Amino acid sequence: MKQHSRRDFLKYSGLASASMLIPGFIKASNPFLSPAAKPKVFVVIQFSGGNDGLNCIVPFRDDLYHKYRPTLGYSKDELIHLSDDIGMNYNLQGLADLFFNGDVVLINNVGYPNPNRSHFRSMDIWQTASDEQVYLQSGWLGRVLDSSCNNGHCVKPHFAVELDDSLSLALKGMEMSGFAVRDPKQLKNTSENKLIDEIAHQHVDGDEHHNVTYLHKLLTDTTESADYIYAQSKIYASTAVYPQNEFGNQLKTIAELIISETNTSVYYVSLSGFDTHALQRGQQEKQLKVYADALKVFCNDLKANGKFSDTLIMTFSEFGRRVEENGSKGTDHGTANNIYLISGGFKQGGMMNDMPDLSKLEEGDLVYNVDFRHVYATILDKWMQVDSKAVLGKGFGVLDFI
Amino acid sequence: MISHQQKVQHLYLRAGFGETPAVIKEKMNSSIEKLVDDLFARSKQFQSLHYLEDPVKGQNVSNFRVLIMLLRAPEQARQLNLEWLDILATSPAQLREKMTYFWHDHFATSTQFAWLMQVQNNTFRKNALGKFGKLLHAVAKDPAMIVYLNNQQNKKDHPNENFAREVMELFTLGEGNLYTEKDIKEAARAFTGWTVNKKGQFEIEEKEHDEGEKEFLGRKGNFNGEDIINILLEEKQTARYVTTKIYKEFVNEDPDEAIINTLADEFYESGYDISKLMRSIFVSDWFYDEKNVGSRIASPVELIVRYKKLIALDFKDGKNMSGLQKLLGQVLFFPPNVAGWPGGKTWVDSSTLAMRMNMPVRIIKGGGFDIRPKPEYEDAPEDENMLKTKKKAEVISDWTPVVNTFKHVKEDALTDTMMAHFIQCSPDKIDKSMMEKYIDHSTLEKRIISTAGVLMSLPEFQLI
Repeated sequence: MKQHSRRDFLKYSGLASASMLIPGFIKASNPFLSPAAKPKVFVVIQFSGGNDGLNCIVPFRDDLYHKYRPTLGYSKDELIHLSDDIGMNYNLQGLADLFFNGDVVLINNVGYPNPNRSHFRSMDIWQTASDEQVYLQSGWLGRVLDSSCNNGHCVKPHFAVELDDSLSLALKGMEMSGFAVRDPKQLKNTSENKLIDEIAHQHVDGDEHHNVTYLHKLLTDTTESADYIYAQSKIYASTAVYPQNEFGNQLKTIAELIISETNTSVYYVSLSGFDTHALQRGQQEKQLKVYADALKVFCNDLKANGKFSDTLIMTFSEFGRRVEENGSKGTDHGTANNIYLISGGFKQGGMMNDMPDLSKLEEGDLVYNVDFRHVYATILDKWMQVDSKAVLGKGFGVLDFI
Repeated sequence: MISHQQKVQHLYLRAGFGETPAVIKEKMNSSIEKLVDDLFARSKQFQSLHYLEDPVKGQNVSNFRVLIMLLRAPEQARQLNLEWLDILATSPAQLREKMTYFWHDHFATSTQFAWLMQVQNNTFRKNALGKFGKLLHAVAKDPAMIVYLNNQQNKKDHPNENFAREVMELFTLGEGNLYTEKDIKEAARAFTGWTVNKKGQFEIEEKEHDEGEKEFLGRKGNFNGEDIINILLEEKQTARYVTTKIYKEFVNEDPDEAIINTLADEFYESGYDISKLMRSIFVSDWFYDEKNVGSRIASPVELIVRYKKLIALDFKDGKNMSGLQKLLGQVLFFPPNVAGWPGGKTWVDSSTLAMRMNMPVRIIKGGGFDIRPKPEYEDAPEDENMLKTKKKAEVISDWTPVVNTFKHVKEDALTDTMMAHFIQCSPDKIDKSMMEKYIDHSTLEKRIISTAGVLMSLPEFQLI
């Protein structure tokens, strides 16, 4: 293949479509991995620290709820009513508005067998989609990148973009990983350093197996992705008014890239501060509001630009929290949790399954009834059109929210 | 063709954390065998980690004390991390430190009690070059390991299989080799009652120990934990598994079956003598084969220690040194899980490679690093105003030793001479005319520093 100069590259990627970056065989075989007319986009919002789902989607008529949560529990009047007996935390107003519009699918009681209550381990399980006893080195979305590889040719790192300085395990594949960038508009990592830019544009042949070739190739891919994402971030400036905080800025950046039809299929962003062992109410409420306020603007921005029906947003956390509050007006690490899926493209929104049964706890924790990998499998098979068996290692039945 | 200098550098990069160009120059006239002898001799004496004092001093620890320990744990773990990082860079016992680092990964553990991590690290160090069996017995009774793998919950009536599983899967036989799920259950029974007391020490709780007969790897008896470990050591597969792991770490990620078989036989016959195994590797001819030299991607810790040795890299605020480790993907005392760091190509992705390659320029330019690792899961949300005013990490470095080492080299040989010291793999992909554009010729000092900076920015510098 002819080597393009940096200027050529910017010209192609900025003005024309970026289809040249994707090997032809992928374009032909997989609409999700290709820059077709209406590419599907998947956005992951990770709540780090273990969000207390039970105080987000609340069974306010359940006496057990109030028994377990004497100080932390929400009363009927404090909640946004989703049904006669289920309420949503009033700080999630933005999410509730989307819910009433049919743009949200709520899945309750999502978890996995033998739940691990360590932040690290449980997050790894969610990010790698492994069984509890298995340690995988690649993330589930990283393996989507891997699945594009053929003879060392893969999609480029910017296929999956994380808004951070470092990449989460979820986006690391064995052959190809995603691209981490805190702020694309200030993407100086590589472009600031002309020497590295120049090395990256050298043509290096050699045995892919050898680490020298591997590093050169990774550098070239990285620089191309950096240049491309930088150029894409300059195309469209959103006029929507996002909340003035980091999370708001991150969603704004993602919206701008989506609206610019960037050839990125997965976006990943984290919101931390959910490890509420003490004085939970103030802290959790603040973070939920940060989330829902920005989410609402984000979805409206996408809708106004005709992108909402091609975007699917998933919000999850590494675990839910113990049903019974602790002595510090907080909650400890628990197990199953709810997942929020948001899109303008659902056949039907709403609550997909029953609330957890508070009368049947295991050592004080909720007993999951939806394995999170069914949710992943559904997204892989029906949204991304990627073979979920190949990515997850085995078959998980798909749910019917898409 | 591998030069003698490359061989000398190879030995120090693999058996230790590399040496400065000045030290390499001194060693150039010695034979490899003599240098290997010297590495072992220098590892006879060593310095233990001693940042933390025993917080309970042999007394039973109260719940209040435990709470205080937990509150102080993050800061203590950070200090412990920095202390070890300094020892890795400065200790004369380089081989022992490298082995300690290897066992730290092989027996990957993390607990919230920094004191227990210090005790464990000193156990690794003490046994790092001795008999593997002794090390394994010590690890099985190590309080941090017991806490980490839940052996405190392993009781006669409710066995917990966590330690029993990992001791076979990760520490001795390797996943799926020889043992069955039944063997795991039987081994777990033998380890019942092995716990940590309130003094933070290993203890056998007799009433929780299952005295009954067990059947393990085809043998029958009233086995206890020590018997299980001895049986595992009787199995040659243990020698093979550990040797393979050592080969992949110290020689080449691609295992050479024939060499490994010979080494494993020797290791087994020697009663698992780690020093003997390591010496066999370092004095062999194949260790210095072209395919092995400069073939490994340096781990973040290896990279940081190399920077510390070359230019005394540090930060005004020590927090940033752990932040840098986190951003690069490896924090000492915090392995990702019990399987340790996966290593190899997984050390680099688009963001960590860019970060590695930008380090020299940022250090030379000054003006600070922007170090923002992901927040800890336990952290409260970051304050937006704090974020805006957050200062860049102020970096400390000293290039004088590098300048002094190369200032008497003839100008037309300077680039090549320096390249031979900084680049360990084949330099045939390096475009020297391109490099020249980024070298500052205004003074000799600037020329040497900028040449070093350019060399350290090359992808090839990441390979050791």
